[in-house]
This record gives sequence, structure tokens and C-alpha cells, in this order.
Amino acid sequence: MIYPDNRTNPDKHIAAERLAALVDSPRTLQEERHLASCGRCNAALMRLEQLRQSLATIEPLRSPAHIRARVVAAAMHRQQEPHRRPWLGWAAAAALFVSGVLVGAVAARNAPSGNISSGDWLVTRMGDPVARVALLEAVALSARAALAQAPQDPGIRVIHERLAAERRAAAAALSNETGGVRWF
Amino acid sequence: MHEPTNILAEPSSPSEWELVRHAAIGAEWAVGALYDAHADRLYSVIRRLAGEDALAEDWCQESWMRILANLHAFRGESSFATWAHRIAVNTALSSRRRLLRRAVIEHEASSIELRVPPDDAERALLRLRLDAAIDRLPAGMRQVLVLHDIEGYGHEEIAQLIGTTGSNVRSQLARARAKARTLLQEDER
Repeated sequence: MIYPDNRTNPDKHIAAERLAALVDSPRTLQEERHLASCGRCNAALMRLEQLRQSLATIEPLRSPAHIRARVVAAAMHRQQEPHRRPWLGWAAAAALFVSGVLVGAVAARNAPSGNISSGDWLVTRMGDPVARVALLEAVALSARAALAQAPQDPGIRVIHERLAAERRAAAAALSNETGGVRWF
Repeated sequence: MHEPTNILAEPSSPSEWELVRHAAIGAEWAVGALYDAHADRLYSVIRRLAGEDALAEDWCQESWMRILANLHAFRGESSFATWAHRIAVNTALSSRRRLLRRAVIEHEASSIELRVPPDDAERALLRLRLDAAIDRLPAGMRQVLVLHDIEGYGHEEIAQLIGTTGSNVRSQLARARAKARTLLQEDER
């Protein structure tokens, strides 16, 4: 639509906001005719098109260096708070489980017979059996804590279940050796 | 016997996926590398949405905290740049809504000191003038102009982000362009 410029100016021009929209919107036949003959509106439209082009190709700003330091420091600080980071609990539990598997693998390789239960190799290879069961209990508790923080994480759930099974087997083996005393 | 792998060790030429994976488990080198690769683009959109340095720095840090906290949720369906950019835009827009709820008064004009770079390059000067004009826009106009004309979001996409209609976005965009053009002309005098 063509609007009056102001009350005292009889010239009719396209309103500034409508011109801004015409940068990337279709024009009416009346607007096309007006633009074909009005230098003022044409010049204004050209400046708006230049603005649009400048904005589309504007260079990115440089991120201030001190923001990087703050972001990385804050990210590392969050790692020190495991109760906020389920993945840290997962990583800790995974490390405990892997170390336990490695100890067991060494023990199994050095065991006098080929087939031994997981509880047997820990009881026979790691000194005081009560201390071994206590250690497994502590490790299983860590895994349980990690699972509580990330109950939907399948990796943590697997580790927790395996550790719990190891603990039960070790406690059962110790119970057999101590005449039926219940350990955990 | 299999040697345990140091899962936090930096690979020689990490792919984007490796960077994300290592950053997700807390490798500081990976966090820094991700930041360095994407900081400028994210800061640009946040700074232009914020309209001032102090707000931009707060929103930037908040955005990065959200990005890093949600790395485990990145599935690779889009590029990391696109995924992180959307988080940054959402953070900036929601932060601005929080400010509005605290009844922060939008001011149209502020004294912007134009710093002409030593080499006086015409393009750098134009960018400074454009950014100064963008900063002076009302926040509602600014966010539509930045998201559409600089960042390339569509009308309907912006409407969904800010909670309005595509028609309103088109109107706001036209007003923003007209206003920005006026501010630039004032600066030229």
C-alpha cells in the first residue's frame, strides 16, 4: 500500500516498514509501479537491501579470552562434584569393576585348576577372606550409589549387578568355609 | 594380558565425535578443544541477542554449562555446531524472558562507543556500526533481526522459539529493519 508521507507533504510513498518487508517479500502491482517511478522509495529500498545483505554476511564476534577460562574452570569444577555428575560415578564404578576383573583374570590364570568360581578366586588369592568380602561390599556400595544417580544408565546397571553377584558369591564361599556363618 | 586403555588420553587427530565423547567423560583437553572450535560463533549470536557485554558473558557461560552437561545426550543426528547453537539460542531467549519477568526496563538508546580498528578497514567499520545499531534496538526487535537476518532462522522457527506467530515475526522483522536502517542513518550524520 502507498501511504502519505505526512500531512503537509502530498507525495505518497511506501511506508518504511512496508519497504523493509519488501526486501524479501513479494510486491503488489501498485508497489511495483510506484517503485518504477519513485526515486526516493527506490533509494530507501536499496539501502534496506544493502542492510539485509550486510547482516547476512556479518562477521562473527570474537569470544573474549576470559570467558574460555571461566567455562573450562567451571566445567572442571563440576567434575569434582560426583553427586552432580552421573557419568563420573559410572566412570568410577567402571574403573573399580575393570580393576576387579583384571585381578580376577590374573588370579584365574594362576589358579591350580582351570574352572573356579568368581568368589573362589577372590577368596583364595586375596589374603584375609573377611577383608575381601568387605572390599567387595564397599565396591558394590559405590556402584549402587552411581546407579542411584543415573538409574536409567544401562552401563551402570550392568556393573552394579555384576558387582552384587561377585559379593554374593564371595560371601557364600566364606560362609561355607566358616561353618555356615552368614556374611552380609 | 590386555593392557588397560587410558580412556582420557588425547588422540592424535580427534574427530568431532571423539571430542564430544572425551569431553563428556571430563577430559579437559577435549572440553577446551570443543570450546575453541565453536566459541566465536556461539558468542556472536549470544552477544547480539543480549545487546551488551555483561549479559552476554553470563549467558555465554550458562550456555556452555548446559552444552557440556548435556554432551551425553548428543546423538550426532545434526552437527555439533548446530546442536550447540540451538542450545545457546534457547538459553539466551529464556534468559531474556527471565529478565523481563524481573521487570528489567528495555532501553532503546544507550551511549555506544564506536572503536574504530587501527587498520580502519571499511568492512570492520561497517561491522562495528551494524553491531552498535543492533545493540540499540529494543530487545524484541533485536532478537528477531539477529535470528532471521544474521543467523538465518525462518519466520516459523523464530515464532516457535519466542512463542508467537509467524505473522508477528514478519511484522517485527520489518519494524526492526526499518529501525536499524534509521539508526545507521543517524550514525552517518
